[in-house]
Amino acid sequence: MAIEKLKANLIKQMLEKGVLDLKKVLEVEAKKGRIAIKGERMLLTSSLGFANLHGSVEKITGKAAPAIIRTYGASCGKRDFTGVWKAWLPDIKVETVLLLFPAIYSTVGWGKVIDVSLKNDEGRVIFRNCFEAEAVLKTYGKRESPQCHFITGYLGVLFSEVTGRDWQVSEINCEAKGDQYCEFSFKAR
Amino acid sequence: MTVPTRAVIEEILGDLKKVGGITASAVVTRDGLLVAADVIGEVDAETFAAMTATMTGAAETAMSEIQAGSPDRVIVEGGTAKIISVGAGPKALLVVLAISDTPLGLVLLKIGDATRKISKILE
Repeated sequence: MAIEKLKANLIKQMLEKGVLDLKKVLEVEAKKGRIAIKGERMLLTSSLGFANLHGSVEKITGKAAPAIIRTYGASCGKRDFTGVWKAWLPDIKVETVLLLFPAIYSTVGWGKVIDVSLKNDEGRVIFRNCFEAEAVLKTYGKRESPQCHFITGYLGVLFSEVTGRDWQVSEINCEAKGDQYCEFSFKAR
Repeated sequence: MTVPTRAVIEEILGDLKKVGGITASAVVTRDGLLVAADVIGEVDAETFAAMTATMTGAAETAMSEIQAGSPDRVIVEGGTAKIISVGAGPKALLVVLAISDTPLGLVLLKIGDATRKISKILE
């Protein structure tokens, strides 16, 4: 546990000080038309694509669109838990995730994480400048209900995997509906 | 949703199961979240909720595309079972599983009663 905490603090400092510069770790193979980070192929695309995903799924499935986008988020959360979190810190504990979460998700451009907490049967995550809300807002204008379905699904699975408990995550404030930040509320099932 | 509300809905679902041929049922939000369920052990209720909401949502957009109004219900008939999905107010759906050869007359009547009750509860 002590080693994990030490390692986690080092990663946190690296991310916060900008030592891990994404531009430097990006492997560009221009001749192959391929970019990668640590051998894993990446794709540079506009975050507005998320709004297109919302719009397309909504066009086909109407009010049920959040179900599909949440499922997509959940599958990405599961993959990242195994491929990133567990790969970096094999004996990962929830305290480590809470410690590193703001630095990691700010570094990869999800937005500024201003709060992440999980106590007993409740928890919350708050983002400012959330990429998903911003994409929807820019593309479709202000919406009446929270829109960050991808992140909702992602967080539910990530925290369920790390805690071994089942969490119900709901977005209760969203920048896409005019709130100042996106707030995700956690309740243990 | 409060625990008493869920308990009342579960009671309605429990009553539905008394109708011959109905094997399971669930109330799900139109955006695919599980409200309450009375399902068979092996069914993943959360996933089933997302699937049935998607199925119903797609049926609604298809009807809208051909300008045919809203569907009253969506029925999927298979070799061993039927899935029946009916709106329970603007926010929810009642989804019922029945054995494939179950006559639908009484089942639809009971589903109608249940959706009216659920719709009132979730108002």
